[in-house]
Amino acid sequence: MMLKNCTRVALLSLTFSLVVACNSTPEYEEPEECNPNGEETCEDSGDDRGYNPCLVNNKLPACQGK
Amino acid sequence: MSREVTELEVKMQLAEIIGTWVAAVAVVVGGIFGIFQFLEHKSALRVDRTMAFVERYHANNLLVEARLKVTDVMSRRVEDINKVIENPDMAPDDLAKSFNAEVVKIVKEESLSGPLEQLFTFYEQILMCRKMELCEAEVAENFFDSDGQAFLLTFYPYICHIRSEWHNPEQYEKIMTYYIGENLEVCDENSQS
Repeated sequence: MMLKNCTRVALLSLTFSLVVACNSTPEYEEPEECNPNGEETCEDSGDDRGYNPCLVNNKLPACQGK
Repeated sequence: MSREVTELEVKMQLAEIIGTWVAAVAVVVGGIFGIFQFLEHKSALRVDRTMAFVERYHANNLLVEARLKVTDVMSRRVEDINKVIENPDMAPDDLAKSFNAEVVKIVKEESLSGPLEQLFTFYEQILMCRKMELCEAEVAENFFDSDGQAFLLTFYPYICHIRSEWHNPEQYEKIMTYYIGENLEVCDENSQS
């Protein structure tokens, strides 16, 4: 009986420590998408779209697979 | 007296069974939760690695200089490219040849080969990081894909040109396959310019 109680206590302690240890893992936030209508500029988001020849003439062979 | 002892024993046994089950369920739930947290931790590491690429893109001197040079050249020469590809009467093959010749001409005249190779290599490294699952695909996609695709669609003729010059048809294969797609025959008619 004593052994069983000890086992239960050990199991519960292990579970508790596992949960506490795992909760210490740092979380990250998903990067916010740039809102063109917002006050912040989109300059720093890395999303500075460059010249795209397909927008000028989509008959270019490279534009056909898009 | 003997009846009270029996009830106590039943309660004790019941408590023991319930306690054992609670402990077992707690271990299973705790284990699953631990695995979930471990996977999330790995994902956070991938995000950190991807953000290191973003930082390089915006802060590494060579890359920033390369990007500024390409932007400067494009702002001066975009009209030349547009003149070539805006012709509505041109057949697709002729269009591709003219576009290729114009882009290669601009790269040579403006000494853009160094900056372009810096940027091609950078985009290849990101794709490799994604392929090896060291970087977070979604984050890399949001930060680099629109830039990378426009950049490659503009300068792929130069890749075709160096493939021809270096006799290496696999040069920059990763970025060509990813950004231009499976449509790799774009180099077939363009590589001779």
